[in-house]
Amino acid sequence: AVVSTQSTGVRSRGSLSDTISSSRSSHFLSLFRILQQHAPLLPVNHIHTTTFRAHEHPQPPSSPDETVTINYVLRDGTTRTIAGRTGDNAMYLAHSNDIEIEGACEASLACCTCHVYVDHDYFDKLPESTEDEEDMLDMAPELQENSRLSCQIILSKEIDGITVQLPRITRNFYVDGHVPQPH
Amino acid sequence: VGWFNGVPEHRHLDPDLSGASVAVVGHGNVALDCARIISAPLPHLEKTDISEHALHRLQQRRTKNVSLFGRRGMLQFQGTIKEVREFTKLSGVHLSVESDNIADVRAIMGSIPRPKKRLTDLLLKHSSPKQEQEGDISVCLKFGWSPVEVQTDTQNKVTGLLLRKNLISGDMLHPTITPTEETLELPCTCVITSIGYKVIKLPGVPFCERTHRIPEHGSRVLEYPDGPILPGLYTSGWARRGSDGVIATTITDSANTAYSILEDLREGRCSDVSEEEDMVSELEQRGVKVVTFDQWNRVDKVEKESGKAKGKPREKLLDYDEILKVK
Repeated sequence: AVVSTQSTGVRSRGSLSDTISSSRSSHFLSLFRILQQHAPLLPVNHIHTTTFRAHEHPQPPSSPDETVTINYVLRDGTTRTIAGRTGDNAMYLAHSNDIEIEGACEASLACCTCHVYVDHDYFDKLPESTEDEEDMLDMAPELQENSRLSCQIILSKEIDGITVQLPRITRNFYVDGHVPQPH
Repeated sequence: VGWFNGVPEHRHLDPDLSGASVAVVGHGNVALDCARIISAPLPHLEKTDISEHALHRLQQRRTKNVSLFGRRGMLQFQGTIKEVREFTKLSGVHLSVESDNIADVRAIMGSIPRPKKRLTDLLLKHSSPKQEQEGDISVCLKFGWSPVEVQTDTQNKVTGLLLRKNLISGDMLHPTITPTEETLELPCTCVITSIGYKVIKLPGVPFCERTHRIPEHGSRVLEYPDGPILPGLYTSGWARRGSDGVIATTITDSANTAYSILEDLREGRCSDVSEEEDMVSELEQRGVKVVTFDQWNRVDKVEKESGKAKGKPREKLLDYDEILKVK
């Protein structure tokens, strides 16, 4: 095996190099977050990422008018309640709050890794999914009637208080049954 | 695929698109990809990083129809819905489907799981497609045909493809496929086969003939299926999982493989760990031409610069000597 000599240690998420690269690399970003947590002394350098677009780092709401509450039910059954803003993307909001939803294709409707179940009371309040989203949902394991891709859920006052549940399994994570060390 | 993607080994492939017809044997995503590139509108292609020689050849194409032949029936279709839907979004491309079993397939749609049902619905929709527009390239998925012979002239150039019709009967989900006497001779200048997937076997790397995959667990190569781990050897992608999934699947697979490697490094499971410089000089001593990641970044920059002038994301370098010069 080869270990690069150009290690610069582990960087915090906010200061990652903003080298432009292929648009599919945000998955490496989320995997990198996991690696940071589990292997803090590993030299990991030159991870290619896209430049951070503003909506990928949702800002906290500055007034109650624009606050939209969203609850994420995690795989272990616990709930995280997040105060988001109108217009926030539910997937990116989860990322910025360290909630482990994958986002392999960066919201480009080329995967199903951000799959969530939407609380039935709120499912009908969401705008109908496009055919492209439905095509990707076809590939999601344990698809249910209330399944949606979280990257297509945009927060609005109409869905204030929405609850989304992370599925037990996703298509990509830990495909060999590998279980991450608790942190 | 290597030809239009700029793989140096394939740049001289020179497919003949001077005839009206192209035949593709196979109904998987790679077959669909080939048909899509051949039929896609030029303004669309010109903005991609398609290799220069492929674009040039496509600009000269006289293709009027692309026929994709599948041995079995509609419910055995291997392509995925997104890839089929792509054809419906391309201007100048007319998608259609030909099958003798439309009624039989419609009859059991109620009992099929959602993903397959949606895909089959899309195929059925195009079995009676809207009117073809003048100038369209027709892309037709034809079910129940097996290739028999590629026909050539005295100079060994392709002149046509002979196919045999199959009868698809019984349970449409697990049909009986019976060859018939009916044949079709399709005159064409280009036949593309896209069936199955073969792993390139490397000396010293274990291989399971039965599954046609490299035995592994968590990307770590095993001596044989369920056998002991070979430390320091990893496998990723189709050689590991079989020919399944799209680019996003394989990218994620490689990330999972990287995770296994990093975990092994952390846990001290790799005995022979060397520095990058030592590895590079060892390889060069063995006559291997090495491009390091930093050097690749330079190649990347040059490709992007060249592409900019043409409105492309990049213009790929197609010659290994050029790549080595630029690094």
